[in-house]
Amino acid sequence: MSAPIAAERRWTAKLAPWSLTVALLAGAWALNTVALPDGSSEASFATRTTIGEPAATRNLELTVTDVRAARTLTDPQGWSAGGEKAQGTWLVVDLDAAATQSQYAATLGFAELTIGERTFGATERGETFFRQRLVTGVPRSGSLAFELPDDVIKGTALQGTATLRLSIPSDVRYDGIIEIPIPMEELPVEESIVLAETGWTRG
Amino acid sequence: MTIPQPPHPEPAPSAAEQPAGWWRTNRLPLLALLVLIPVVGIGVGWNEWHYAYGYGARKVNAVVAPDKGTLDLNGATWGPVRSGEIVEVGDFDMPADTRLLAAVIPVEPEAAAVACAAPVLVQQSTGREWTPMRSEIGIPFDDDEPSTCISDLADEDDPNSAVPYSLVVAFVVPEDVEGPFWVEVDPIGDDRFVRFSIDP
Repeated sequence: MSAPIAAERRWTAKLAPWSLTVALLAGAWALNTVALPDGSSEASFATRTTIGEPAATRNLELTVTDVRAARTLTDPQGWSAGGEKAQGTWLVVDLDAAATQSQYAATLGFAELTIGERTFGATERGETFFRQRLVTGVPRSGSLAFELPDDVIKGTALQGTATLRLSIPSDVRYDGIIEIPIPMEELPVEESIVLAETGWTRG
Repeated sequence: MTIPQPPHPEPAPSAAEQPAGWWRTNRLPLLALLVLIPVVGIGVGWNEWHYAYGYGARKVNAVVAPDKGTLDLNGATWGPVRSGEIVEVGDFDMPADTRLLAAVIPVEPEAAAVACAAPVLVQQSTGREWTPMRSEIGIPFDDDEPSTCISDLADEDDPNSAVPYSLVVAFVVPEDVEGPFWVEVDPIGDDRFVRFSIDP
């Protein structure tokens, strides 16, 4: 009677570590599958909208009214550096923006354009709406400009998919941002663009 | 051969001899926890609060000025505030559907000059805030209309001879925003701040 019991014990004793190994591997795989990417714990809270549609997040409300592209850029003052024109490939975003709750520290402090894997910040040259003051409940208008590398231009149009991300704080971790997809293929590259003057939104 | 006598049952232990319960045994540590947990909670909370709001770096405690009256705070006398809506805005670059509200706040330092940030307009019902506008509506800078505290002295060699002056500020608010408002001035280096109630 004792021999079959001993054999059974040996068999279960071998099975236990193997099944535990399989269970742990399966658990690790499941955990790895459902885990969010690195940095997710401090990710921004994105509000998605489209060109022409108003959106709001936290203390910011804005509408992107137009997106244009050009080889040459001029600001309303004729560029600050002695009237010289800026050569390159430029994406220009016209927008209306206001603070919703408080004017304290309310400037458009974050403006980034992501094309594929690359991210570009709004230019600080010339007179643009970047880092301009926002007023509670009273929209102001202006332009943002992004200088792009030549490989995003193909023939007479831009290519690739782009996402524009805007917010008030320059550090947008844990904070709200507004995300706008930009249809690049539909953007003809004009020869020259004059940036919109920064000021109160009219009509 | 006889059957041995089974042992007698032991007498039941009296109440005093019963082993003490877990709660009773651990009453001293439990009492310590009862004291320590709230103390740690309050201590950590206070430390975090003090880190964020202490040292007079932010305005925390409002001191409301009496109606049409003055207030002594942080080495100066503030008020009485004058306020109103500026109706004649023809020369200004005003956005559509807005009102221009102006406030004048006399400041009389007791001896040395005081420092303060620009006044803020707060809608009392919602807490929405506005900061002063000037160049945005096409009004150039003017020495006689400071928006933050200044440190002009009557006698250049005497730092305790600060002269009185008035803060002059204007706020652009949407037309549908109704009062009453607070006008708040935050003297630097104090967690208290001056609050005037206005309803222009």
